[in-house]
Amino acid sequence: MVNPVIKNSPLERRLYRKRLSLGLVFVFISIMILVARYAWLQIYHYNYYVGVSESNRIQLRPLAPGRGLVYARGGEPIAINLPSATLMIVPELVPNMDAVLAELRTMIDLEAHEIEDFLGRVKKSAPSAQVPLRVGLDEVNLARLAVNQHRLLGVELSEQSVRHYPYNNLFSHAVGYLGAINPEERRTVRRERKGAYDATYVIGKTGVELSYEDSMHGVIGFDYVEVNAVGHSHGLVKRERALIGDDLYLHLDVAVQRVARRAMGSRRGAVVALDVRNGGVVAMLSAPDFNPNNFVLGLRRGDMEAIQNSGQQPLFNRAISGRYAPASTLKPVVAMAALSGFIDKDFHVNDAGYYRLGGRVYYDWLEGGHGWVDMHAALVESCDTYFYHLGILMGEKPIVSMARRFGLGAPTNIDMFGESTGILPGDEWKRLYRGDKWYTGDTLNLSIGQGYTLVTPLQLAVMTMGLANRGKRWVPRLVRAVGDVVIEPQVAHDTMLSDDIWRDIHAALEGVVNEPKGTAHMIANGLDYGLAGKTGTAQIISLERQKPEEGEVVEEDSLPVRPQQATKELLLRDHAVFVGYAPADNPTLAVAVVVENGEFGGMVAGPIARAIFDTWLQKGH
Amino acid sequence: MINISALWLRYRIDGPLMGMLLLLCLFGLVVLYSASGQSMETVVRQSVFMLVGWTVMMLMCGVDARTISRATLLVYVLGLLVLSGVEVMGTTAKGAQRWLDLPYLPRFQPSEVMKWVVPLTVASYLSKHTLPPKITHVVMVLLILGVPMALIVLQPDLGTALLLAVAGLSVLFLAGWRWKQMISFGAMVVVALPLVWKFGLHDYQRSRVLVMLSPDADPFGAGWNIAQSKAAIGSGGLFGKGWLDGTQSQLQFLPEGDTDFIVAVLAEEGGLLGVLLLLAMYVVILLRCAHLSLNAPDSFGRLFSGALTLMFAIFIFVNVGMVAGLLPAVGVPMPLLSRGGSSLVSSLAAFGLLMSVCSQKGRIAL
Repeated sequence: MVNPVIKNSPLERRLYRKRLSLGLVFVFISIMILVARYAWLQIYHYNYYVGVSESNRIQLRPLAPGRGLVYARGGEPIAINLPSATLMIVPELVPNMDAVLAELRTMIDLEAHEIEDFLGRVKKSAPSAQVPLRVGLDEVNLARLAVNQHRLLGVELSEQSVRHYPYNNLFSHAVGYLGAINPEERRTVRRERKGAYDATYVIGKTGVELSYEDSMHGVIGFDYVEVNAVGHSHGLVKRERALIGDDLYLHLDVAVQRVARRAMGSRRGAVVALDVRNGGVVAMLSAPDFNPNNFVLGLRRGDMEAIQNSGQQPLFNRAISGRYAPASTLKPVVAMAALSGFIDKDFHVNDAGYYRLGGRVYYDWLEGGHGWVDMHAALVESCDTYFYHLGILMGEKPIVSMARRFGLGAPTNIDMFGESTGILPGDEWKRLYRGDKWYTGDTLNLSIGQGYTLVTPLQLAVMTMGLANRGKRWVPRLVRAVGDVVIEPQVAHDTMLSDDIWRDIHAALEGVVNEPKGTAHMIANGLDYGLAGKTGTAQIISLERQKPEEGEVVEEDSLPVRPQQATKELLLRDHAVFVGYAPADNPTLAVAVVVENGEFGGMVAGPIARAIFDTWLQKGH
Repeated sequence: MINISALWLRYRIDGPLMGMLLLLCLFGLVVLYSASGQSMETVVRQSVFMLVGWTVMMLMCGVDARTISRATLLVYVLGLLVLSGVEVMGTTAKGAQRWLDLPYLPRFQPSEVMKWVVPLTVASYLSKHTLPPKITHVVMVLLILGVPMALIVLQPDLGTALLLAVAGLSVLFLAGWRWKQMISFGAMVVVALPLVWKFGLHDYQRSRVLVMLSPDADPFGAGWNIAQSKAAIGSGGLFGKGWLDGTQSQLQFLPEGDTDFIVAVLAEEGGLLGVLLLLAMYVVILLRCAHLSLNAPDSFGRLFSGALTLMFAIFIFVNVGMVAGLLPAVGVPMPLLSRGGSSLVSSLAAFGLLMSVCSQKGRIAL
């Protein structure tokens, strides 16, 4: 068969060949462009894209670090971590959260605020994370949940570490406690520590738990979990273990602290005992105290209200924040000021029981007076009139100056938050904060440690450390070592005074305890070591002036308390104060004791100090 | 005694081309297994479609050129009708009205068919006249292109419409469109472009183009697919992460991993080498098609097969380029690789047609 003309002219063939070739060239170029692009992505930017795909697939789950423990001087653990049954929910495994929560409520007594807190945490957590609902399940609830667990999809029971204080109330103020991180703390921690606290729900609130929070917290760890695009986990790729925080080794002595607490009994007050060789805080007591274990799992609202309304303010650390007049315990300092250029030790005064200044009479505590007294007798018997005379002689400036050298009116820089600096008054101070000039009467009050002057029991202890150590005092420290690192004692001040002055003052302070007329002689019964000290009876701040004094540096939450559950009559009684050190010839310990409304320094505060020294020295210090 | 070469001679099958296509199909199945999340079911389904496609391809080989030419016109007209029908009663899938759900017929995408048919219609039309085409013919071609384009754009499916335009104009080019005319046309397009941008595009289309230009601007919204795709490709490196070990694909970070973005899966698991291998296979196929095209018996055969060849090249370029962030994200599957019956069958059918029109065997004059 003959084909009709097939349309196939050579011209068209050539044209087509040209065009097709051109097209192929174009195709070739485009392919080269593609290859270049892929090479650019896969070779040149390889690392970058590996990073992107890794960050897609790897989700970091924070692992909570174990918190460091706290040990007392003898190695006794006073803050530990106990495993505690915790109820947790993994959101991605729960088909219906409301249903599960409702079901859980039928099994255990979940409170509305617990659920609220939990749901808030869920919002901030990954769907595959274990979100705690309740920490510290008791056995009954744990059993109920365990038995029903097979029915509850996504509900997990696991062990979390919970802080525990085996000595309960004994170290409540010094060690402090942990509590749930509140939103403001969260913000601060995020700002300063970035993600370090992502797996941590508690933080130190007071005491060394707070001041050494950074060291004890440890380092957060991470589980590198492979997840898919919706966050479901496929398995663990890598684990970076969390690092346990450093342990703290304190100077606090369990036996001494116990003795102090027992001796204080149910009264209100504070005790601070310092190791004069290095400034270590051997005992710190503030009474009444509380059980920090109650705070760890979160106080129920009712409990906190009960505490705050008790009127006793157990949470207030009187040892570092309570402000009291030093009263006669300031007299050694006044004496030393006088001996440094105004009088010598033979200076005599005839004390008839009062001192007249202008139209005003200032009384001695002993009716009728002490008769002729010299420096030694004035200190031993605590003769107010003698010191009135010294005050007139010197004016207030040398007294204030000497007091400053012994650490009064300034922060002690103890490794703990919340200390008050008290008040060391003077002419400038009074003009600034009272709008009036300094009167001689004020000097008289100052000379016997009353009036505007306010100190904390810690400051008294520091002052006593200075007295014991012939002028050298250390910065008080609760912590002896953090982990492996020993904290070297630091000299706070070294006051140089002549040996003569020290000899005289020391002799007088020993006399306070050992001489029959000494105001603390009643505690000398059965003493088999040298004990020196000074008593005081502090006039209380008038009931109206329970606010911080102007000119006083007060840290938050260190306001003085107004006890409510005591009769007004009791509240008007003076505080009992005692400071002392032992052994007298080569002191190792300085103690300051304040018993609120206890009145008699020697009889009430003294025995507490005696008990402390007995225990301390029995241990061979 | 069966004479194999006689069999080949009878039918218009081209051995080398078939061989490469088979290789590519099998390779595609391997990649698909990984991309589908190791779903054997998907692979089996795809193989079934492949068998169907191969059968269709063989059948197409048997169809003679004249029938093809006439059928093209018929399908074109039908296609126009169907496209209009989709406008009226189409079902929406993935946000675009593209599917037609007729009773008793499997769901299919009319634009997918038109993608092939329209440029082929252009080829068929042009080959009837002396080449190079006169201006009247050019205008006619523009019409032939323009109408279906408009319908497709209304779906809205800008990507396919543009693809169609490029393919159709390439056919015009192959047919010998005069350079001067081409350039003036190009100039007119350039002028019209800003107007089209402002008035002719939906927001999402604008954002798609913008995402391509700066893909980091919205990594969780419009740019997500491309960002994940680039991460998949880039993290594959030179040698790839290994078959079935691609984290982007296996962990579902890469959307559409078994359809439009399947090349990204290959790039992640096979690396640059894997991609080069794929491209090499396509290049070989294209070269073979070009060879067959040059030796086609007549103008129709040349233009028709040339159009098919260029279209393949374009589709490949667009998909591979889009996946790497080079072009705006359009829903263009990878020929012969992406999961999907209609794409597979139409591609294989197209190769069948190509072999038919290029073959000398039993040629009737048109």
